Amino acid sequence: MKVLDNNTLRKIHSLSMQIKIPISGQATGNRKSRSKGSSVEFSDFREYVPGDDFRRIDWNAYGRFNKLFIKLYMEEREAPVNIFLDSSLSMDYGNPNKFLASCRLAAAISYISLLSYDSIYITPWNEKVQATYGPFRTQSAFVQVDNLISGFSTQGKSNFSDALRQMEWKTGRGVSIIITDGFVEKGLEEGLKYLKYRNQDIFLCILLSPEEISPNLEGALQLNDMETGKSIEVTMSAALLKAYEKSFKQYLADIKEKCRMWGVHNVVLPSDMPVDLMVKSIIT
Amino acid sequence: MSFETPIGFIGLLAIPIIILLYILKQKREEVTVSSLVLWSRVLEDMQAQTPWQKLRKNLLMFLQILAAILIVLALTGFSVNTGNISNQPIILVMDYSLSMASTDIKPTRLSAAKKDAIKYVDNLSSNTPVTVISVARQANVLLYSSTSKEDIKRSIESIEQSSSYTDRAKAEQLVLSIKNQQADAQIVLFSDNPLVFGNEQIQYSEYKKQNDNVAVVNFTHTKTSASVTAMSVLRNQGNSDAEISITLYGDDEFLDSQWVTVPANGTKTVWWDKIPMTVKTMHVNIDTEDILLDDNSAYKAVLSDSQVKVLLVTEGNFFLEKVLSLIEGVDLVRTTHEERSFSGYDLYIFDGSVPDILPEDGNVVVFAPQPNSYFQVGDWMSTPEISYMDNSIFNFVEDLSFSIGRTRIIESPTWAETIMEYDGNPIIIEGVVNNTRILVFGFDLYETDLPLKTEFPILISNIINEYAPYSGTVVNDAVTQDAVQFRLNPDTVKTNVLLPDGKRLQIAPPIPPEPFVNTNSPGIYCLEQIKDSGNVITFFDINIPDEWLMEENSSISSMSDIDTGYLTAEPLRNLAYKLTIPLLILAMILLLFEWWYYAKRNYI
Repeated sequence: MKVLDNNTLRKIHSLSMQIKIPISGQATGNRKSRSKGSSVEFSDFREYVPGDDFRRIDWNAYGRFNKLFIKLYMEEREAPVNIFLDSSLSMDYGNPNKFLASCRLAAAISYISLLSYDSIYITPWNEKVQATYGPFRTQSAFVQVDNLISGFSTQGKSNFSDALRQMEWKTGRGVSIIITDGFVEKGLEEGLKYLKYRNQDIFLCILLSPEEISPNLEGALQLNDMETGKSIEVTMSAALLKAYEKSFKQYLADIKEKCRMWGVHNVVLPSDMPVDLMVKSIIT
Repeated sequence: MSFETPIGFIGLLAIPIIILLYILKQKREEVTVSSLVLWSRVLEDMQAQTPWQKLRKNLLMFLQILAAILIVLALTGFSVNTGNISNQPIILVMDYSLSMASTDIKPTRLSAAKKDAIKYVDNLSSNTPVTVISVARQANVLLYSSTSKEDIKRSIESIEQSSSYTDRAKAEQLVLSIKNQQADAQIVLFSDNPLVFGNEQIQYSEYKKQNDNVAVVNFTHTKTSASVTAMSVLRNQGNSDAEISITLYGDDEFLDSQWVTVPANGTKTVWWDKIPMTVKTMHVNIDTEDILLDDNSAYKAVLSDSQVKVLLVTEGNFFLEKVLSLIEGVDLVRTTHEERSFSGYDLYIFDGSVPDILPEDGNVVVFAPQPNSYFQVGDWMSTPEISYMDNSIFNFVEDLSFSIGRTRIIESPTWAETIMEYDGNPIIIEGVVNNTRILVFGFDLYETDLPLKTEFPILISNIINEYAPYSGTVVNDAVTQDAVQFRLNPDTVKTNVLLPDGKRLQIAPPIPPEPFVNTNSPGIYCLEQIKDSGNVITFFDINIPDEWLMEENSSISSMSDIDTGYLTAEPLRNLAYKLTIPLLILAMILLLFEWWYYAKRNYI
């Protein structure tokens, strides 16, 4: 594998996605669906009406009530999992590199989802959505996914909400996993709202490098923004670093608060965290 | 407020350099970050919290400029005036006597005192009236109650080193008279010896580190038949014995040299003998250097051995004949009243007569004059009382008392002055007629007991010295700044004085000449009398006075005589508080604060 090694794949093999709400999709999977259909899990009875599949008539009930009833079962459908991978330039930063870490995370999520017979859509974005790859449905598709992800690269600025609005949606209700560093022009809020509007169960993964969480800078510096090209001049001091730390916490707290308001799962992941732990952090 | 070394202001050039360094763009290390979103937010927050951010950013620069200014002020010797803010008048007394030329304080005591006095004046508040008095042998008011610091400083600068002693009495009189006019004035003394001005309080700045000085305080000679013997007295003013080398020169040629040890605070007499008779001038010189070089030499003009030719015109006067024959160097010739033409003598003594025509080449002394054409001779006056006689012929015989049986009443002419009188009638007169000096005694020596007195030979010797001097001068053992009165020969046409530095000054005519006062330099002076009959050259010497002795003598009230309870001769306080150390400490604190502020800074 290009993005994930076999050892990592083994670790995450047993993990499966915990998804709270039913989802809608075309192919059958092992997710509960609102669609009633053929499955092993009983859901309800209703009277037979012409046109129904007479193979589903419950003859035992007919014997007791002398009426034709049809057994309804909860149809198990696949969950469309949209992975929105931030591929703006700001992701190409840190040690370990945030973008590599986010690719590994995307691959890991894809792998687990494919194991669960979910369909995977991978959408790298920056100012706009570059493309939506998928659906990938079978486990064997992971090789494709792996190849696909390994070919991704960073470029451009990030604008989450505009990118989503310009995107052509292929799925309905589903799971959206956003992997980003959160340093997004105009913020994430509008984008999250839009995903909610699209009935997405949202997992927001804020992936940051250790240098961003705790900068180790000193002296008179010119800080250059790798995404926008802007720069500011600062003279590092203990007070400044303290203020940064405070501001950083506040920034995460703001994101958390907004996610709470919008019912968005969120997690902050350092880029040096092993990918299996990242996955665990997301699903637990 | 004053600056000791204003050249330190050059250091202010550091300020534009500091500003320039801040203006120049600081070279910053470039660091790429993923996003400036958070950093921008932090900076906005901090700038919002710190409204004086820009000023604080430059605080380091201001601190550095301030530190630079403080260091520059320290370098300039910045000092502030802490005294005399009440404009109390100041009587500034500067001692410029010989001892102030000592070099134990570089360059000399006087230079150091002048410098300090100027600094003192600088530190006075601007409206302080200052009287500047210089004291040495003369006490002079150089500037009276002036508030112009420039004038005060100029008058202090103008004080030139004297080669004489301090006349303490004169200094005291002058300072006290000024003090009487300015009762609230503060006396400030710059000297090497504590002078006393009554019971007045004095701020005294002493200029004496040590006193290791040996001076030649006396130098004299005597002639024997074969040679000249000289004696020099050395005084050691120091507190340790001084071993010195002293050399004798005759007519500026080396004669002899001796190694002597002068005891501490004592004197040593050095004898020189077998000096050739041909030597006209001598001087001794201490070769060993000490703090005061001016008093290391003494000069002596060797008296000529020529005889004074005296003509006694008398019908017989045993007393005069006897006494004149006893005086060494007098070549006495006696004649009677029948002699009518007089020439070829230095002095003519007429006993009982007055010539019709006064001799032109010598002075005249007359006893018991007869009526004549030069002055009126009146009746006899019996038993006049002797009164005090203030004249050089009575030197050393001030207590002389004698009786006169009768004397002629002399009508004092306009050209003469009365030396002694009784009841308004002159008894002894003196004057000058046609360049000839005449001394007239109204009485006959036989009608007085004067010749019987022991002082009579001294009186006649004084007359010989005064009216027929061996040298041209009257004042022997003259010291610097003495006024020297010359006794010129009556037939002198013109007289010059050659100073030790070779300069020639004409002093006569007029005849008699004014007292000669150009005696500031010690050395051998030459009196040149130009006559029709040939020039007469005589030498005289001017020496440095024995300052120690003179100051002891001139002191009315020495320190020990004064009840010290009334006197506080306190050392001159340094009124200017020099801020070098506090400024440097402040600069150091500022720089430490700057370092601390930089390390703990909470700005961008």
